[in-house]
Amino acid sequence: MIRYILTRLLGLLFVLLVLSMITFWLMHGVPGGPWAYGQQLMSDQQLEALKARYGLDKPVWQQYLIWLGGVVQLDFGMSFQHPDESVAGLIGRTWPVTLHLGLLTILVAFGVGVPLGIISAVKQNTWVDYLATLLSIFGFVTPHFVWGILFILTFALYLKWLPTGGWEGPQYWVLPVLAYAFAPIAMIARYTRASVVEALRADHVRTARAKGLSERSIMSRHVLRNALIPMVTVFGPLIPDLITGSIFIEAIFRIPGLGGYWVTSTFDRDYPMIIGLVMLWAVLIALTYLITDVLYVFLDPRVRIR
Amino acid sequence: MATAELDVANRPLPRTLRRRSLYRDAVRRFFRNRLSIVGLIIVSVLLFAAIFADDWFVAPFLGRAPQPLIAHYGYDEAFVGPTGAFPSADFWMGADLNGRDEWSRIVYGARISLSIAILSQFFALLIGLPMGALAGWRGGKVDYVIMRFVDIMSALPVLLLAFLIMLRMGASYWNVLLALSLTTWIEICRLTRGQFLTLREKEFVEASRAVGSRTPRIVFAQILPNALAPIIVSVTLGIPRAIFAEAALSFLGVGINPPTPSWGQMIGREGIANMTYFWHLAFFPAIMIALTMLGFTLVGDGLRDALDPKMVEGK
Repeated sequence: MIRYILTRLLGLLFVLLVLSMITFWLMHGVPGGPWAYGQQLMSDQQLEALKARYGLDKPVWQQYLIWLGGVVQLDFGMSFQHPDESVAGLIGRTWPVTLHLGLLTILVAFGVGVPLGIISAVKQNTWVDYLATLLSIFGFVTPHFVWGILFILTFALYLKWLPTGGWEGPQYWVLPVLAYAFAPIAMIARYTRASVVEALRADHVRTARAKGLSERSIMSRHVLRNALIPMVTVFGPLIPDLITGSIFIEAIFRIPGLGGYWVTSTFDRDYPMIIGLVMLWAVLIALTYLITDVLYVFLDPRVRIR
Repeated sequence: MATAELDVANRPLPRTLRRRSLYRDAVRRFFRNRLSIVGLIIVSVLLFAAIFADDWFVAPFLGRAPQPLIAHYGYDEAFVGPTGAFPSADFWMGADLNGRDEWSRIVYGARISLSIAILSQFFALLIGLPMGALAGWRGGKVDYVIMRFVDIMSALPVLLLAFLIMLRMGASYWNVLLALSLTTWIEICRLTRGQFLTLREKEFVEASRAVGSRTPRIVFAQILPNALAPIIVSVTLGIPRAIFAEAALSFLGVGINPPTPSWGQMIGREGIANMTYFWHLAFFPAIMIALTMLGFTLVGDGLRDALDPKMVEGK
């Protein structure tokens, strides 16, 4: 097991290396530089001096090696858009907000999605099921920024129940979390329904019914246990997506999180920040996949790691 | 090997017959599903609006610029009076802050969104299908190289990749198309590879090889038709995702260049900033994006259910 995890981590290192090269090449290939569209007028010498200071006068491969050398010592460089902050510092400052939003969203998504899926599986082909299916189609299909806009228009501007944006207290959390959670709720409900329906048809469930077990104990001990295990692989990949934040939700609700930096750092050619974010994303994705795979082995004794 | 015997007895003779009836069954199943009919209606209305927004198909013969048909005005025709006007009998969806008719811009926006979404899937298919087929058919080193490349591509956030491509190429219609095709072929490639991997081991392929069929015949006449159903579904379901991606890029200001309208751009440029007062600027494009994605998703879901041979009828 430990050997397996170590091999996977080694593979991750390789993927990160290649990914960082591609990103480096892509972002330096984008025309313009960090100070090309600067507001302040600079003389050519000043520009040269700035470039030299950040090492941008060197060839790209040298810059890459310098960056790599820094990363080995856990130094991700200084952000260009906030010259007094390091990339790690900037991420450390803004990520907690995004993380907060993301964790709330995950909580709501699973808290609503799983029960909804179970209910519509148990009450298959009744109006409850159809309602849940319709709801999950709408949730699945509508982009979260559309939900955000519709929620703001209805609940904040028309009904005036909740604030339009900001991030100051629980009443500010409701709309962004709802808008953000709608799609995951739909997805989770859909997969849960399919999985539970399949488990309900299994032979051992029929046996349990024949034995005269109560419907409740059949559900909790025979159906749900089996149905929810494969869901781990579906849910795992949702998580890095949710905790790295959405540009749109954060822009629409004016949330001071990490999401906006995906865009601003690309617009400003903030190279260290771009590559820092890509690395963060890749590590999160790879780790969630690894954790799901390992978790799967513990949850389902039939699965063996090769 | 009772099953193998059965297969041999069944397969060779009614192969063409069976294939035709699978698709005929699929059509029947598709039209029996109420939701997919709703989807089909939505998609048809949108396509109709996109095609007949103006009379571009006769204008060149009459030697004049296209004139609006379903749209009321040109998409960049500005009026001085109704700047930011709310919806009314003259301006069905109001006017934007440049005094342009929102309804006309929505209709022209449909043309942009739909054409980009459909064409990007087509180009993604052109890249993904051969790559996936090659990887799945040849296996070994070719497979390894293609799949590692696919792995790395899929580790990059799609939106960021599209964003970088857009920045590098500059915002324009064709570049959005390029960026979306380059980011969506991966899934089609994976799917095709999976199909080829399983299908090439099947008995009917072996049988075909045993009778002396050449590789092109096996690949195109035997495996491809059998691999096609899930690929069709994936492409159809890729359309709403492409609509979302185009809207997202335009929303962020790197997609379609103004004054050409795109729904995402309408939300991003004027909609969000003025939502507290001019609600219609964000509302209508948002609804249109949702409706379009709904239509294509329903059609895609319907196709998947209809084409899935494992689906037992009536369940």
